[in-house]
Amino acid sequence: MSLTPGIIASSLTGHLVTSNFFKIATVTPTSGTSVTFSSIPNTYKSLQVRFSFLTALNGYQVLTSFNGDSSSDYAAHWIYAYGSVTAGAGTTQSSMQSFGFVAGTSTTYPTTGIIDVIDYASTSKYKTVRTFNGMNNNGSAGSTELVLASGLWQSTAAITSLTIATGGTAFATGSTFTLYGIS
Amino acid sequence: MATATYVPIATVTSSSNGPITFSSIPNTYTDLRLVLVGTVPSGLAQARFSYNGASTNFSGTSLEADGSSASSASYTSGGYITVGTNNSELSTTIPGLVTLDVFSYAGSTYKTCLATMSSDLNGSGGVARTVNLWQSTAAITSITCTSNGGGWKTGTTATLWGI
Repeated sequence: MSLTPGIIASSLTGHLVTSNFFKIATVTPTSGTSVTFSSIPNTYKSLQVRFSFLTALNGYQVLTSFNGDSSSDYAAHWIYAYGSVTAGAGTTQSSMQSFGFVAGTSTTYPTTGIIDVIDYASTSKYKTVRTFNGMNNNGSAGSTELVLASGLWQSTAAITSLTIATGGTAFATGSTFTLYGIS
Repeated sequence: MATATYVPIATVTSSSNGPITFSSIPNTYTDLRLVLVGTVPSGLAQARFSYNGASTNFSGTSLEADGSSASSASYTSGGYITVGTNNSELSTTIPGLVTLDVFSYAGSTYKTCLATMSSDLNGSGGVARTVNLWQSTAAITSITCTSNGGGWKTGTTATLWGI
């Protein structure tokens, strides 16, 4: 096998310098329909949220918002798969940024995901988000889903708080959200 | 500044075209991330993973694309996690990249992971993203990486990180 050393080195972590990855806070909700990370320091280049959560009811959206802004400043695009169906969709002028509808029963089956917020502390740029999330319940089409999404918050304000919400159903015990800063 | 929280647990290089196993994984992290770069003894092949030596209760959904089309697929009640189907597969000569993010691996819920495969073969190959479930509440203490090409070609490297 012939491998280029640079390829090996850079791919070990997905091009991340791991010594620059820091935990900011962890939230483990057992109720409520949203979690918020507040007082986010502006000392990192990017943010990453990693989550695994359970909810009380079937079928919900996964929504994010920043700095408590509930105006129509959000947009998103998705490509997703459920069962044998592949599709894409998008939204504009949303009050929260949706990064995918996740179907299925989920008091037992965790929904997991990674949210990357790029250049979150900039005061001159709109904010771009990418996500990779999914849930599987050993079921067939319509009850399990994988979503890749990009999102936009049309604001030049530095992000100091980040909220993740469901479409109305409550989080259940076993849920974990952790915010990391990448310098 | 806070302490870095992305910690290398172990790196394993395959030998004799066999599987790669990480064992005695500590339960002190929130998530695990496995990054594998390599080739398979016989291809084209999919990557396969299992936890704690289990051979049941795995399922998943994939989103993938080759050079001309995108598709999705799912499997239920499988014996292992499968990453890469149809044309998004690993070769015997050109290294592919496979990653596995395992969330809340030490907790008491069922275990869900997100996985990726990137395998460009200069005219073929593809890309895949998958979500996978292991219906077990046991903490994950070992991960075995194999393929349906017989394992991993000698020299393939995998690193396990704790986050």
